[in-house]
Amino acid sequence: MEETSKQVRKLAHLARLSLTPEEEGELAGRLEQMVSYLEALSQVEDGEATEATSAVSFRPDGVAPSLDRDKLLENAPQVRDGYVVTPRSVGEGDGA
Amino acid sequence: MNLTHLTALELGRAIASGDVTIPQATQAALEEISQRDKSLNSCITVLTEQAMERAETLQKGLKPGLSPLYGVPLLLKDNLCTQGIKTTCGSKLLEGYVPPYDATVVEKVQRVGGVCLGKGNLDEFAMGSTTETSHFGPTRNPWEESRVPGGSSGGCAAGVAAGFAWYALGSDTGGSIRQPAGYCGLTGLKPTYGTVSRYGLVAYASSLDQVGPLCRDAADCAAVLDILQGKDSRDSTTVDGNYGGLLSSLTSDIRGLRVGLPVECFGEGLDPQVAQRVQEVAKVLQHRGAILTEVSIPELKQVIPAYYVLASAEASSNLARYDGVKYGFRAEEYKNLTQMYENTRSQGFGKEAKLRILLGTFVLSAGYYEAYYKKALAVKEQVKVGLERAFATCDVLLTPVTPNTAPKLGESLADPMKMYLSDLYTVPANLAGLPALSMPCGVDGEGLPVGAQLMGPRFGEQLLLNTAYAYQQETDYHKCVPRGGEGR
Repeated sequence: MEETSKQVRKLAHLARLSLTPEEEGELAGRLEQMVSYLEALSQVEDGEATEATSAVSFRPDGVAPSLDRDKLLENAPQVRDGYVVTPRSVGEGDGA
Repeated sequence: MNLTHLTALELGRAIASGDVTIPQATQAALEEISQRDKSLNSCITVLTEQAMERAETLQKGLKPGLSPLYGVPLLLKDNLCTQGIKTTCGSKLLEGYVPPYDATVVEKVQRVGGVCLGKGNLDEFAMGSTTETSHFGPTRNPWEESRVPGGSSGGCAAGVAAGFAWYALGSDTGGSIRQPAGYCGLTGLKPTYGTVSRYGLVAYASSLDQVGPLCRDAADCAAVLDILQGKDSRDSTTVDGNYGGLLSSLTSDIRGLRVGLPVECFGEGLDPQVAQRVQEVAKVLQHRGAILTEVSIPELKQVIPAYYVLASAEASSNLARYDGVKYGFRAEEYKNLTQMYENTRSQGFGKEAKLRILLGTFVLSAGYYEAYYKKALAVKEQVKVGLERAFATCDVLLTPVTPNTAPKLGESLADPMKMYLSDLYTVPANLAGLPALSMPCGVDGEGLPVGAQLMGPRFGEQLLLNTAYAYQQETDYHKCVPRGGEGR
C-alpha cells in the first residue's frame, strides 16, 4: 500500500494535482483496482497497432478573422494591460 | 393535444401549418421545466428569456420551405460551447466559463431555426455513466426519480424524456448518448466518427468523441442528423459521409436485411429481462422481413480495459489545459506558478476526473506505455477487424444497450468497477468508429425502460435509422412517457 501511495504521489505530481491525504488513500485504492483489472491486456498480442489514423487531409491555408482578443481575455482570471497575469515562473525553485 | 408529448417532427409540422406558434411551444416546454426540474435537475442553465425572445423572432420569419425542425426547441449538453452562454462541463473548473464562440453543431441547429432552452447536466467532463459526478448535483430519471438517468448525457436524456424539450444534442465517447437514451426510453444515435464536427465540443477523448441526437424516435434522429452532419474545415477529422437526406430516405422496408446477434453480447452478466426484450426486437424485425443470424465476435472480450486505457490517456492529455491561466477557475492561494496549477486543478476537478487523469498519466508513463497503451491500441484494431468480419455477413448488429436497467442513485458511486463494466455493449462502436443507435424496446418488471442497440458499418446511419424506423412502425414503446409526465 505504501508503494502504491508513493506511486500515486508521483503520478499526481506529473499531472499537477496535489491530493489531500484522504483523496490519496481513496484514489490509490481505486487506481490499484483499475490497474489490476487492466492487467487483462497483457494477454493481448501486440499485432500491428496503428498509432493514429494518418488519413487526415490538410485544408488549404487561408486568412480569416480570429476570435476577438478582448472577448477572449474576459475569461482570464487575471488580466493587466491586455496580458494574462500569472505568478513568475523563473527562479521558482529558489523561493524567489 | 399535449404539445410536449409530440415528436420534434410533429411539432415542426404543427408550427409550419400554423396550428402551434413557436412561442407557444417554447412556453409549454419552459413551464414543464419550471414545474419539474427542481427535482430532476436536468438543466444546469435554463435560458428562459433568451428562448422566448428567439421564439418570437423565429415566428416572424416563418415561411414555407424551411427546415422540418424550424422553431422546435431543444437542449444542448453543457459540454457544447455556446457563445455568450455559460458552458460548464459539469465542473467547478468551468463554472463561470462563457465561450466566445459557438460549436459548429450549435451554429447548425441555430441556422435551421432551433430554439435552445438550456444546457443539459452531465457527468464532470462527460466522465461517467450516471450524471452523478456533476459539480451541479445529480440528475434524476423521470421514469423513477430514485434512479439515475444514465450518463454522461443524462441531463439531456432526462429532459427530453420529461417533455422539457423535443430533442437534444449530446456527445458519446463510450456510450454517453446511447446509454442514457436506453435508461430514459429515448432513441439516440452516435454517428460514424467524423460524420459530425467536434469543433466546440469540449474534448474528453478526441479519437472517440462524437456529437449526436437524443430524440423521441428514429425519424427525429434522422432529421437532426441531416442538420448536424457534414465536413467542417475547423475539425480536420470530419469527412463527407454522402448521406443524402436521411429523413427522406426512411422507407421502413427492411425485407432481406441481415440482422446479426453477436453471441458475446447475450452471455454472462446480462439481466434476463433485458435479454428477453432485445430478443423480442429480433422477432419484430424478422416479422418485417429481416433475416436473423447469430454471429461471433470474440475480439469484443477486451473492449472495456482497452477503452478505459485509451479514454483515460486522452483525457489526461486533454485536461492538461485546465491550469487557471487563460480561462476557468483559478485557486485563490498559491505561492508560485506550479502551486497555482496544482491548487487550481486540485480544487477544480472532482474525484472521477482526478482518477481518470491519474490513470491516463499512469498508462502513458515510461515503462507502462508498452504494457497498457500499446496493447489497448492493438485491441482497438482487433475490434475493428472483428466487426468488419461481422459486417461481411450481416447488415446490422443487434445487442442490448446495457446489461441492466437504470441503477439507483448512489449505487454506481459505491461500486464504480461495476459501472465501468456495464459499458461493454456500447464501447465497441466508439473503438471502431462505427455508428450505433439505441432505441426503447419495452420495460422491465419495475417499469424501467430497456434499450436495444443497433450497430452498423461505417456510414451505415441510413441502415440503422431505417431499421429502427421499421421497428417503431410495429411498436409503441417510443411513444411511452414517464409517469410524472402523464396527465399534464
